Amino acid sequence: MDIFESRKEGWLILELKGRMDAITSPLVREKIAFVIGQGETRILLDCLGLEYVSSAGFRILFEAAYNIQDLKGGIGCYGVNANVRKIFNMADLASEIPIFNTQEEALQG
Amino acid sequence: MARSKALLRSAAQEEHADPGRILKKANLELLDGNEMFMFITVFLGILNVRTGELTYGNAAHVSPILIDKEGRCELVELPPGKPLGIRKQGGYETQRRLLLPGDSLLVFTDGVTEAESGAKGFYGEERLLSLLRSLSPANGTAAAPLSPAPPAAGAARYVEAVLGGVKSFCAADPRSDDIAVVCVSYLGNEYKKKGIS
Repeated sequence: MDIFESRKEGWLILELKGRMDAITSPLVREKIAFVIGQGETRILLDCLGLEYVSSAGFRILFEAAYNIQDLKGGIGCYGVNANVRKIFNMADLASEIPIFNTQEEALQG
Repeated sequence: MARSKALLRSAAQEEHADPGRILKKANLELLDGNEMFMFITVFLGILNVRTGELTYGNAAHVSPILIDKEGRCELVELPPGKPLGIRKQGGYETQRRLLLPGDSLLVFTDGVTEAESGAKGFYGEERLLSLLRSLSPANGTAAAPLSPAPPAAGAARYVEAVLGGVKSFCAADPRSDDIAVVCVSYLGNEYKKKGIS
């Protein structure tokens, strides 16, 4: 699992590449907790390279969503493949982290 | 896990066998004092053995697989539902479907489909479906749930096949997640007539 960071129009973009499973999810958790600790409250997840999210993975994403919501910030994602979208819908995660088709759509929110 | 099971059992007694209501109640109980943000995913099904009606609800669990008596396999579509222990808001839907005699329902954790082999990647849904289809009567290795053999053998055979399939797929590679597999075969009235319970 690789995580790349960039910034655009006031949003921190975290590009997630690989699989979020029991082994790799703690890396994502650590990263998100770190950036929130640094004061980031507007985060977009670039999921173009995200292959899969397991139950351990969506726990981290729920946690991130609620932490951001508590701070009155915003979180969204884009570039979600069919497999990951299915998991988002099954776990009702899409109601907490809105899914956009493209980065442009996400930025317009 | 032990607490979750106890809460689900207790909720089941109070909520009149309605999976959606049971999940909602158990969720509220689990949220109480859950500072560690621990959660569980649940597929909760209740089978009426007289009618074959399966009522079920889902809390972010992977879809179970329905295997009919001919060995055809189908992923059961589940209503969306958050894991238990995550948030107070939101409900859990109850759905229904009728099982026919000889149908088997295989429920499993994502540790099955996530099992990894360094050389071959992940076990995956397609490989699992393919394994189950290979046990169909058409392939001559049926679990034969309606044969005179003890009917529970059909369900046990599916479970053994899945565990064996995953083990052999992973070979020496360590697995990343725990694995649980449960299979229930619906017998209908055929076995009652024959005096088999």
